[in-house]
Amino acid sequence: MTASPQEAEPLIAIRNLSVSFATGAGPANVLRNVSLDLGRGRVVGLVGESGSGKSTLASAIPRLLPRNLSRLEGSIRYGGRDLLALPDRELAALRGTRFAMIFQDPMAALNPVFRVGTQLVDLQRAKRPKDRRRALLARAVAMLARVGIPDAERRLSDYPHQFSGGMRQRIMIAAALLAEPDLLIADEPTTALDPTIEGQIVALIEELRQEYRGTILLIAHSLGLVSQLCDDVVVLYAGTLVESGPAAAVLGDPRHPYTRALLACEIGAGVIRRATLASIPGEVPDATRLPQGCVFAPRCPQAAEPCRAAVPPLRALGGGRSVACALV
Amino acid sequence: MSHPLLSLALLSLDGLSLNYGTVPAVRAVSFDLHPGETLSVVGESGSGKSSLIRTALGLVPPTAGTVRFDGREVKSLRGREAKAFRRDVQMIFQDPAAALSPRMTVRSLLAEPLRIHGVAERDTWPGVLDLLRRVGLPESVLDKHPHQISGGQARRVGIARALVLRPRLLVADEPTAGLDLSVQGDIVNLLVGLQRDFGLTILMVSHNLDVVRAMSDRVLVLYLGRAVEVGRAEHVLNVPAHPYTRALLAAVPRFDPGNRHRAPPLRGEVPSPRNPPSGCAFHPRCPLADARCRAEEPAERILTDGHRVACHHPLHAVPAAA
Amino acid sequence: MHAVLKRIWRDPGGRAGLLLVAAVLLLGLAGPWMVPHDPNKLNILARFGGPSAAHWLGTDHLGRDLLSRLADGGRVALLVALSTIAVALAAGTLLGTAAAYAPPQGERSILAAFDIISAFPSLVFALAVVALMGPGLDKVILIVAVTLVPHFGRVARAQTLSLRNSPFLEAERVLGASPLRLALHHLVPNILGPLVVLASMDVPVVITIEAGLSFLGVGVPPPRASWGTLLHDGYTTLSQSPWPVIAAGAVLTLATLGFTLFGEALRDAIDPKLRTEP
Repeated sequence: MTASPQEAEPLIAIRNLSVSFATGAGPANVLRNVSLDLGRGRVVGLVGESGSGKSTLASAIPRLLPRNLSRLEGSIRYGGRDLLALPDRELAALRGTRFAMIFQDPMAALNPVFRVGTQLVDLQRAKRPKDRRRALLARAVAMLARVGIPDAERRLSDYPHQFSGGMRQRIMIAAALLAEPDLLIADEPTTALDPTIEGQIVALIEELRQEYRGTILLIAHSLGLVSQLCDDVVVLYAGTLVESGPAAAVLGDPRHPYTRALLACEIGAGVIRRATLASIPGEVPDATRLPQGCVFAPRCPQAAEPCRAAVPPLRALGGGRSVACALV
Repeated sequence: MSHPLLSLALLSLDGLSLNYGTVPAVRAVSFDLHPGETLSVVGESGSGKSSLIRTALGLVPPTAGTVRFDGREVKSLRGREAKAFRRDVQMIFQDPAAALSPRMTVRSLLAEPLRIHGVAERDTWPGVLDLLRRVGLPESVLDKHPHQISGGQARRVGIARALVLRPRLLVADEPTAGLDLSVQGDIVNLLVGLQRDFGLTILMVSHNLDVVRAMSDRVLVLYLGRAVEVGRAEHVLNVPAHPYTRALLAAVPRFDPGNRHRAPPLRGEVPSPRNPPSGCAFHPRCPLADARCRAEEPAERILTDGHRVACHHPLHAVPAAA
Repeated sequence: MHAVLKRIWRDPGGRAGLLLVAAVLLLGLAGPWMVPHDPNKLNILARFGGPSAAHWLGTDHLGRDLLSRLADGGRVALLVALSTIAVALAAGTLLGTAAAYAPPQGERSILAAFDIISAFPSLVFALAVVALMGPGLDKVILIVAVTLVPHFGRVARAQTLSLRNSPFLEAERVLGASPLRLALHHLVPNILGPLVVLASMDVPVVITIEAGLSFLGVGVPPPRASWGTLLHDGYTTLSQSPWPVIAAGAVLTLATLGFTLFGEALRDAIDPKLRTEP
């Protein structure tokens, strides 16, 4: 539980990643100097409000960035290579084989005009070009059964719209796992689901990670989900990594004022009716007009002079934890 | 809290059913909502939550049963009375930006309720501006269109707009859906504060059980159009009597750093209302189901203090300790 | 409105369309006060005159000033086009939204009426009406308007169907807005964009239909000028002078081209799906 990702060589090492997009209001600095490691076999939770840059960070790894990208700096090292320097063709070969993604809306990733069986066979082709279709179908059936699709064999000939939302999410997970990726990026996989179905998907991910040895990067809205599923947590605020480390440590004893403020917003089962709930006053700054110094300073209850003067660097605290705050 | 038996219900649903064609969406739901109270309806998609509130609002006529507001049957309201009902009952919508007429400015959106009800704008406008400040919006939003403001601001405009006419009943459909955790508490505080200041009665629909817990006096659990459990929030949410309520509570991943909870997830999915299961609608997913549950629809039984449950095998039959 | 015009101006086709439309409007609206001659004044001695200082575009077979007659014809074309489209737009919007809200049987009847009208060739319909009631400007407007109603009606119905269940209309209902207020303040303003685009694309269609009917002698009755009758007269006397045909043909072509370009640019400027934000 407390093993730090720094002890072994990480699967992916991101260093000083900066991403900007061109907008009508000037460049939007969506990620600034982000450095983090994704440890092998770890489930890493990415936490932050909308506008924190968490989705951009997740899509920067397979380099699936929008066309108005205006700046991409730093490095993402994977298997001895820098993904940001890799030619497009080589990177495309990694997507779907080494990196797989599951999304909030599975319909966005499943092609509505092809049968599920066909899609599940096609995506295995990259890794198994010579296998017979029948063998690949058999693997697909086994994986669908594994993720809990009843009557999997018969349902191979169904189209995506014939499945419920929860079932489609299971198919997405099956599709991602069939590729046997090194990194599975899950972008809010349960946000659109009902709570009992969300519970089923969480239990499924829990179960699968016993068998699947790859790394999972989980973008999550819910701190509950992160605390239940993740080994490590990365907290982003306005494109800046403010705190990272083992989940139990960061969530149990947050050091950055933003992490603390965010955790305080969690309502929890002990809430007293009509008690005043915590919130973070103000709004996330616009990525085209980031404040000087620490990005959280305008909303930080403890902000002092040094906070507004310079961007606090990310410092290691030991035990695999890092914090970017001048006051810690 | 006034005693329910001593005060007249503001909103009263009695045996309310709604069918779409032959498909039942709401089946024989009854409850009373008393002045100043907050009642939350919880349930998954397809449970009939939105059909229930649409019927309660008089937007669709019930197939059977009655909706009474302030003692009068909503269906039979005409003319001046119908207009008064529309003034007394307001709603905040799940998707706040989509609920604002896209070609109007915030100023005209806020003035619209006054115009509809022929209220003199000159006298009431200062009150509207107070309301705008009260919900935490600067006056600079007045000349913006819905697409020019953020989702959080649209939510606040929606709340202000619902309160311009000083309604007695506020229907809140997923008031915190899609909000960041950092502003969720702010909106809950705002609603609780407004309820206190304006003496509002609130009927809320939410899938966020934490928000429900923070706001509600009573909770109604809906499953496939039926009220499977109703009672005071502390009873229903802390000592649930229906296996479905328990499963719903267990499904929410708990924020508990360092401790992992592995509640066995509820199997299966909500069945289609076109083809509801025999007996108790929940039996195909229920860990306690037996032959009786498959054959016979459970009648509602009263546990204590208005805590009602429709289950052959309630998790506890003894009165729950408050 | 200003932003829409700006977007049209940025598009080269739109700019050309806008300039041509402005020229046609100028010719039709201000023309009668600008041109030097009475369009109906005969001068048999000066017939078939080529362009000259007195008659910039020359004269026709009765010696009437061609430029003055083109301006007068433009006035007719615009009058017919705008009033036809206004009638068709109003009727189509009314019937289309009614169809969207009507019970299934009512909706089916309205759609069947649209189908019947569209299935009928409008020129044959026009000839039949004129044969029965005699030619006239009002009849041209009526005939063309009727044939265009399904056009607007179908789009209005589709737009209404897509908006009918939108939360903002429900929100207005909850506030107590009357059906009339819902329709006029909230529904129509939000479906009008595509209808206006359609209307501007229909202007050249109506102009050519009017010219066609007048060419066949069943449209605008003489001596009133119409681009169609100018063309017709020009053809019968083509051997004497090519100028009437050239002038009337060029004006007709430029006008339809202008309105088409303008309509396309307007569609691109209004339709957010086609718009690419900078």
